[in-house]
Amino acid sequence: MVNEDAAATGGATRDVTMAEPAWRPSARAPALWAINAALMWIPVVIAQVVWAVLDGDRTEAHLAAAAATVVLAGLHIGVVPLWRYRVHRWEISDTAVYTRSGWFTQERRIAPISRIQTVDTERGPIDRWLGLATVTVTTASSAGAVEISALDAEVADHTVGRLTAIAGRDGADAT
Amino acid sequence: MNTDVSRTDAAVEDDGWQRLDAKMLLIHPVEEILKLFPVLLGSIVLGSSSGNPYWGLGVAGILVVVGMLRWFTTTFRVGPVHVELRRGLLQRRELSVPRARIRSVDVDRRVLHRLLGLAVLKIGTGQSTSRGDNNRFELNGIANTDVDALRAELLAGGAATPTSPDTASHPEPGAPPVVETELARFRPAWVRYAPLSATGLIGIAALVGLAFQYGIGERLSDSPTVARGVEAAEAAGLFVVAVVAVVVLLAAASVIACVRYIVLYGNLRVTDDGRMLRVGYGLLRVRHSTLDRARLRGVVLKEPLALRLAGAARLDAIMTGVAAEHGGSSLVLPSAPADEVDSVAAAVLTRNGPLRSALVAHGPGARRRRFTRALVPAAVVAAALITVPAVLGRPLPVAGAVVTAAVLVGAATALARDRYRGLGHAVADGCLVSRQGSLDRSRVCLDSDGIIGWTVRQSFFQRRAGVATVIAATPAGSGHYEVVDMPVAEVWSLVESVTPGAGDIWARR
Repeated sequence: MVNEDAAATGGATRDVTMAEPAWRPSARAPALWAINAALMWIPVVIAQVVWAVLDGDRTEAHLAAAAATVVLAGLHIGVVPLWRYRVHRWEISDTAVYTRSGWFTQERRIAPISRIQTVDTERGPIDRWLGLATVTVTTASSAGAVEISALDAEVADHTVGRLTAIAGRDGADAT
Repeated sequence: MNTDVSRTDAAVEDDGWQRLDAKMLLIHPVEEILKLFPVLLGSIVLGSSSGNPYWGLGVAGILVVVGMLRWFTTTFRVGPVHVELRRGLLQRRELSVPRARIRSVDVDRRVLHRLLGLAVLKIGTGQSTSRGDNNRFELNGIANTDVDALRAELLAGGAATPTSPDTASHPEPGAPPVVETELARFRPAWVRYAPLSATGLIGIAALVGLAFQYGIGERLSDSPTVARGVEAAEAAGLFVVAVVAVVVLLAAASVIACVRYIVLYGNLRVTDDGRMLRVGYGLLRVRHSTLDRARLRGVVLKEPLALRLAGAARLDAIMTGVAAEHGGSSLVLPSAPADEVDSVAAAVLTRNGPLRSALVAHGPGARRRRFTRALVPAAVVAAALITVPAVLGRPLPVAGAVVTAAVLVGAATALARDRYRGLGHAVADGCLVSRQGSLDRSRVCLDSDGIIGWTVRQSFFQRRAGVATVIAATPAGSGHYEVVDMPVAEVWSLVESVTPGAGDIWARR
């Protein structure tokens, strides 16, 4: 149970740095994220229109709300997808999956392939329209799932094939 | 799964399906009535107001029948490969667990069960944690005389399969009986730590909520006694009333907390036979959990502020297949003296390096963040407390404003300092050690074997402060344990020293 290496170094290794994962998601990923963001804002806009129709007296309040919506939605639809695209990276070696994701809060996540339990592909309606897919790799830990989002469909299929092949070769209990 | 629903019950019986103990015919109806007590109360109220007293009787009758049907509709079978359970009145459920997957068998005896000499056997597989209550595998109602044999049989199925290499050094199941050592035993003196938790206050809040829900509260507050009390209070002045109220509340909360502590944890006994840790506790409801050392991945020492000041702590085990959120079954020691907790933790881990090792502090970036995160909310609250009355035309006196601000900022500073002092991590004896928090401080010792992935998270502000939160993913306990706000330059060194090779082809030394 005692890990000799770790016990010997006692946490004194101070010089390890980590390269970034090399591969980007699909070039259509920003479009996907922008469309998803736009869809989220539709109910807000509808609510504001309904409010304006039912209660048209307070012009300043309506203008302020509309301005706030335009600015926030503009940032969410126009800026965040590009920011996200600059951050998102992923790479698979023969033994591990490594991703970088997020925008305001960014995460680097690494999981050994030997611990993989399932590999799922997820394609929503907009993903299908753009020919994209998201690959989710789950491990025995609820916190250990690695998501590789907005890949070209054929890249996703190839990745799933490769991951399941490597995971199957190991064949150990992943807990 | 061997399931053929069309077969008759008689045929099923022949295949080794068993019913639970027949005394459950008494327990189920009572539990059913207790579970739906509000409905029953409602129907009695409805019955008395509509002049028909049979309402309540009718509902109670239905509950009794439903409870009895539960026994008739529940069967289980211990097969060579699977343990199966069929239950459900309207929605039939068939649960099947491969015996090799059984991680734990906990024994729970509630008051009614104890009176009738029964027990509930809860079978844990580690897979059911993400699902709801309905998928819990429990055999509710096994006679006490059969419990030990059945538990041993169920657990043996797991031991027969190849497990991780570290079980190899332990005695084989067939070997002569192993020596069981006692790690801890309940001492009445520990009760002094009970009032230091919030359980008493929570209990009072629950009682008050319940009283108002059933309209008892309104009746009480309208009663002449309360009215006289209010008059007396008005005479005594606001300050006196506030002090008396706080004292009475704290006293009541302390009594409730002490009673709860004794009833819940009385007779606590923790033993260790080298393969299994056994934890049993409870005066009325008795629980026995078995913690398999092969699935032990570490311990959590909980040292909330009040307990820490009194020199006490709590101890939980981190087990594969036992989700920490559900609590209870991974408990090793409730509030107990810190040195006792320390020695039990060392015995559970079989080494005390992770408990003794000095922690690496997280440096100025983390320290600044502790202070901004405590002081900014305090400043906002202070500003609001001072400006809102002023805007409303009733400004606080200058002295009051100064005292308010000073108290808030002082408390925030003390909290930030203590939070920073608590923050730290270490790698010792193959364990990742991480400590954090002030009011809810906890120290986690997580076995590096149990870590199956890493996440390094940085918010925008953390990137500016040059710190990052490292999250170790594990199938055990709460599933993830964090090292908060450590210097970003040392993050991957920590990851590599806990689990060499985790950085794979991307690590650069």
